[in-house]
Amino acid sequence: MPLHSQADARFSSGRLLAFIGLVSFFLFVFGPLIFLIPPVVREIAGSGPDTLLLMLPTGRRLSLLLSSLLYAAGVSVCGTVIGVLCASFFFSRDRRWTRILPILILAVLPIPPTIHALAWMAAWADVSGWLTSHGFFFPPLRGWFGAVWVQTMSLLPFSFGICLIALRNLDPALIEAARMMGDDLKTLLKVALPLIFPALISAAVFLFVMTLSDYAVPSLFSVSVYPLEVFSDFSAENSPARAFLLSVPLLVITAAVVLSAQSTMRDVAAETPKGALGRSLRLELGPCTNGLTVLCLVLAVLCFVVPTFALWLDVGSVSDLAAAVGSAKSAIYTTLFCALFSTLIALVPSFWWADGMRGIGRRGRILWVMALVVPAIPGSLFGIGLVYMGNMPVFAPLNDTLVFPILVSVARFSPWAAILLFCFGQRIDPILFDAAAVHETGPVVGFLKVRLPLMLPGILAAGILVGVLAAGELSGTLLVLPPGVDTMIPRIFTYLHYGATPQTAALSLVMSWGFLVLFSVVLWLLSKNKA
Amino acid sequence: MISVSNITKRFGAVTVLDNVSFAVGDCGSCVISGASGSGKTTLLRLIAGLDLPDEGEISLGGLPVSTPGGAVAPHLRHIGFVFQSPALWPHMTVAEHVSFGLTGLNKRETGRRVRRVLADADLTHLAGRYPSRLSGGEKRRVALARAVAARPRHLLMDEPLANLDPELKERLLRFILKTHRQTGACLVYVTHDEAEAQAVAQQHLVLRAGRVVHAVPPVEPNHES
Repeated sequence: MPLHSQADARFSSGRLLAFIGLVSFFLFVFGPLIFLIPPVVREIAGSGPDTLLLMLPTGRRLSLLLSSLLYAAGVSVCGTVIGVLCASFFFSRDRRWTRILPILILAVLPIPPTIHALAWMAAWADVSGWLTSHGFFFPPLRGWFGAVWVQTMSLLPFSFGICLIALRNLDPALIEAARMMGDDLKTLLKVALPLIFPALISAAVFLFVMTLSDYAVPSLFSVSVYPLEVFSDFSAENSPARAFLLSVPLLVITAAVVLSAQSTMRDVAAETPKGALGRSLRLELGPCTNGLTVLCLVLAVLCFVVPTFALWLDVGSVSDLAAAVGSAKSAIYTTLFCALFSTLIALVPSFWWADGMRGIGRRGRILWVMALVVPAIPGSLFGIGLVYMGNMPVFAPLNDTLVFPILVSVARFSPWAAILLFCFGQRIDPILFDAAAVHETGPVVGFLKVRLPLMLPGILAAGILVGVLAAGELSGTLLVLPPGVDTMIPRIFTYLHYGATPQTAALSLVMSWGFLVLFSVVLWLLSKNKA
Repeated sequence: MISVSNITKRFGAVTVLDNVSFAVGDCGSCVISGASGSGKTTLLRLIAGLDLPDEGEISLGGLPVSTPGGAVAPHLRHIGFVFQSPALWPHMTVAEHVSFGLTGLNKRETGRRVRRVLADADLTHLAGRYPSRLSGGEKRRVALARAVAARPRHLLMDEPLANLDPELKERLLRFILKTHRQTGACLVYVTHDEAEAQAVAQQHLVLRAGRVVHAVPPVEPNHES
């Protein structure tokens, strides 16, 4: 047992694996963006410093950026307020159905905004038609109102889930102490909500950056936002450098927002849910607050019902559904293929990245911030990076394959898997890993017998999460799909520009139910962890 | 033999252990006590190799195993560790916990060793059970059995009997002392309990704010108390 041969022997083989995992993660996730650096440098060198002015939005682009910021802030505020009020409803009631309903609301979390948009357009048109025919006024779902409404509904499960877990994680002793000294409404407003303030901030930041980097919903409602400008500019000019420079204002804003809240978000992610979704208390909130929370509950239930059931009204019959699915068979297979391979490629590097994020000190924080920043980067930028990569002679043969659509999903969603695995790992008592480190007969045995089984539900959940997100990817995939090949969401998105048809409704319905079932499995797997 | 020489450990700006030194001879035992936050658990984790010292050196059996520059992996130190909580893996049965650290034995020998340890710890009837179906006292016994099963040369125990009822505490203490005698392992035992300390200690260290403030040299333990 000489020390010289054992220097850094601790986890030496594990360290090598971890190093390979971290490097792979970095290359997969940041590789497409790194490919944008040479053309940017060349563009600046060739066209002079004037090119740098693209980074400073003026005139029309400035107004687009401001509109985008207002749009994102609106969705963030609406989504967080509705989410916390809805979570307060469940926190203040303890019945059997209040334990099941939150899971249904959370299960629609991975349904892409595009499908929400189609479902809401269809449902709104039906309700509006009926009300108008009976002499009532009903505002049309279009323009900024439509975009904010749909985006809020599609992101509501995120803010709701974060707030509910935070509320149900509160130390009951703190709540009971407050109830001894004031009524239940005061307890909620003065004690419970201030205690979950970090969760509220996290939810708001999350909704803000997700909205700011997305263009799918605004484009369906014919309103222009900054990310759409980047996409349109690339489609017109085919210049990755211009696209990157145009994206800089967005990147700076989202990075600043994420960085300012990263510490709070890490603490929230590290919280340990008690049971599947914690436990509730019976609180009497008074008629006004009760009314508000019930209204928000109705909205949350609608965000589950509309994309899963309302589309059925437009599908018509089972035979129509079968016909639509039959005609889209190749798109369905391609989607499943891409989702499967994205999952397989993303999982191992994400595992090691999550492991690194759990580390204490600066390294853990840096890895956490890097994972957190990626969801805030416009998806089209990853696609543009890969398009540039595909233009290089050495990578050109890949253009006719599904490698780039898969890589887009790996780049965009590996950080999601890493964040989920980080949260899951935080729920496992670290002393279990310490006990393995002391008593194992070797690092591989310890990994296979203790670490892997303890993390298995989290790994499966992360895998399914990447799969469903990859199946719903749009902004990057649109740019890198080989000619003549289709996946489901781009196909639905393209159809939607010509108006909702029974066929798009049928395809969206199939996607919704697929996502719903798969994500229910994720929630079930996450609730299995009792370590 | 466990030898700790001038160990210092810091977490950020906080010095948790400050120039701590002591040695425990073969078959010897040392009780470490001190207030919460005095550095007892950190000291055990350093000896086990779960953390690395910032300064100083730790040797086991005369060989250096931890220095600021390098460390021997925890599983190569021949240590049995009983943590403050039982730290049982929820997906393993009692028997699987006990056999987990056994190496170099064939299947029959492994089975024999597991049965022996389970019998010593009065766990035979629980061999197939998972931790979720064990009582608090049973979990502690499994943790003890797991720590001693591989016949380690060094035993580290971090308040192994905390929060147990007096009767169970006495039974488990007898089990620990018997195991210590049988294995001849070098024992470092952290406790707040005076009676436990007297029963186990050949020598006694008291830590305060990361420093040794009181050290009683080795004496024969009072196994009858």
